[in-house]
Amino acid sequence: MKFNKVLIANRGEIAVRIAQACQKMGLASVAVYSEADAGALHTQVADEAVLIGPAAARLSYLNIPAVLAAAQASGAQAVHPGYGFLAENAEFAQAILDAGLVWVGPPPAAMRAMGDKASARERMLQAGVPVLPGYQGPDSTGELEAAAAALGYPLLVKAAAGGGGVGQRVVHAAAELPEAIAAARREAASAFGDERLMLEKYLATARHVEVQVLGDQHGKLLHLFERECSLQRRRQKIVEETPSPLIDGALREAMCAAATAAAAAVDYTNAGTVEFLVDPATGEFYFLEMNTRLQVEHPVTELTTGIDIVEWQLRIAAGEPLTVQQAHVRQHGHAIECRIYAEDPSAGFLPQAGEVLRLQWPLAARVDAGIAEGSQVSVHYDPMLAKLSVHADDRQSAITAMQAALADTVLLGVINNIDFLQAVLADPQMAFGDFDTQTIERAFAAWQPPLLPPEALLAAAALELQPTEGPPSAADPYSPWATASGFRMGRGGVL
Amino acid sequence: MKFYYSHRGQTHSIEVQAQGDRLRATVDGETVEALVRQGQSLQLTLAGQPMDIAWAKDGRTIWLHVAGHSYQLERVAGGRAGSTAGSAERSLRAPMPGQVRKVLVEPGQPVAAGSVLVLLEAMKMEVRISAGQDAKVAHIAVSEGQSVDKDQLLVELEPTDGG
Repeated sequence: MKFNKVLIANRGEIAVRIAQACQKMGLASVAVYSEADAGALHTQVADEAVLIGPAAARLSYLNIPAVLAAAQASGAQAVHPGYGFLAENAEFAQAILDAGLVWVGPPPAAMRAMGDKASARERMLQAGVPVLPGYQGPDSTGELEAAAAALGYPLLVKAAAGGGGVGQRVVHAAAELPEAIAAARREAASAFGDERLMLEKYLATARHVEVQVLGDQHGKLLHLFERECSLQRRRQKIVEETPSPLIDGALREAMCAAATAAAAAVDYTNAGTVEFLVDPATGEFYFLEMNTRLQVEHPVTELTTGIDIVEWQLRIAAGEPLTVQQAHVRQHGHAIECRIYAEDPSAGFLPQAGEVLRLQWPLAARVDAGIAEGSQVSVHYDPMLAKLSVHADDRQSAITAMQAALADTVLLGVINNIDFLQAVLADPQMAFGDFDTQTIERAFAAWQPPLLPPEALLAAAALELQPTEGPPSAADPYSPWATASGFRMGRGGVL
Repeated sequence: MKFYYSHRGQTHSIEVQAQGDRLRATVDGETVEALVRQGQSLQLTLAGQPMDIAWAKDGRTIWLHVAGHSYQLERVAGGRAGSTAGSAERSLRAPMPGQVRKVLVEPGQPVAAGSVLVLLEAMKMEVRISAGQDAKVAHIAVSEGQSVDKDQLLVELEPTDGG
């Protein structure tokens, strides 16, 4: 290959995932870490680890000179950015290329074209990719007011440079518009240093369906089908699956074709995801944005297509051609992913911190984890701890398998959303595949964790009475579970 | 022996007697008998049904994984449930580790129920610490810019007359 050592400019589960892909391919991997992440799992899985700065992300994981220096000092010849942090930062990609290193991602020009919402919209219109009715152009308040009147309400005022919901306002009536424009402009100016605004029709209920694409540097561009990502809280996905239960064959075909057209319009290479909104009332779909990087939920696509997306990212970056033909990319069965977050779903999904005291992963699931027993979960970064993914013949079997996997996961010491995910999967709306991006907030706002069962009190009292050191109590030889030979006491017990 | 545990703001009690590996307990007025085994996990057998319970302990906090769900219990002293509930309302603590962004009140200041006293920032989120009832600010335990741990005292309130 063109390189044999890869620096992973990320942390958590995705850094672990990329390090494992490197191992599989015989490539050396270099992790970077902040002071808060000393000893973190990703630093142990990679072959080397380089300290790049203090806990604050802007001084470490977002610090371009520090990451670049780590790459050069470690002798890495390629940089994989993962997702989040610098992954969609075109200046970072350019800096990597300018330093003579290989960027494991799309060309900076494609990243810029898709990063600017107004220019992306323009290009999609030219490429014949459906976009929501909207307006981009001269954006004085007067011009926006005139455009809004023509467009109708409700609409979304959106920062042209933005992303992630920053600089966005939903407007239901003309009277609210001037205030929304002023607020969005302020936010956009401070977040992106660019106060340009655009307008888009607002879909109150919509489904979020995205298409994975993969392009090599020799002009071949594939789609790897869609992922259904409508189950979200605070605009963050928590359950993803493929195939989407919400679209039929004709819609799937149209969306996948639109996704490859969108990627081709910006000369895209490497892995990327084209996000669409689907209007459940009309079945129409609209381009939302393109994520010019690896996506969190890529495992469900890997499980159903058998294609290792991270491995292909590295191969493509090394200049290798895609060996798969589009006609041979098939989906087999159904896959579901659940994201495990350190958060309290009964208290507004408030992020949680602490030490992972006990951890036991289910055997019958793919686990992408950024934590191990003893890991410290800090307040400095995204609270996602791990992802569970299951693959089964059909959707109902996959739901059942995921429920079992969640129930079998022991994660003690940090409050998390595992009980909440179980409730979501057990909901009839999930079984019918009938949900949209607002379902979680509507249906689970008053969710409370299960009540304390008497067995828990009994167990707590039993632990108080047991000596913390010493032999097990007299075994009943006739009991089927009297095989406690691996007796271990101390800070905790594992299932 | 009688033990008290707090779970999500509610205090539960359990009275137990141990005889070898047998446990007789009274939970919520009902008597149950269980067989206890300590192996890799705690094994309870109730009415012939064995159950594996993974656990972890951190000081007075006990974490348990029972039948697919996790529970966090706090061992508390008995018979003081009423007074702890009262003091919880008066002592406002950090719900999570973070940084104090703003202190919006001063000592001695009367505050209405729901008014925001302190803004915390953690994991890029703003968390508002508000008064649960009409009260007066007795003491402010933190200053702006300070880092705080989970459960660290932020503000003490005292009830206002007639409140």
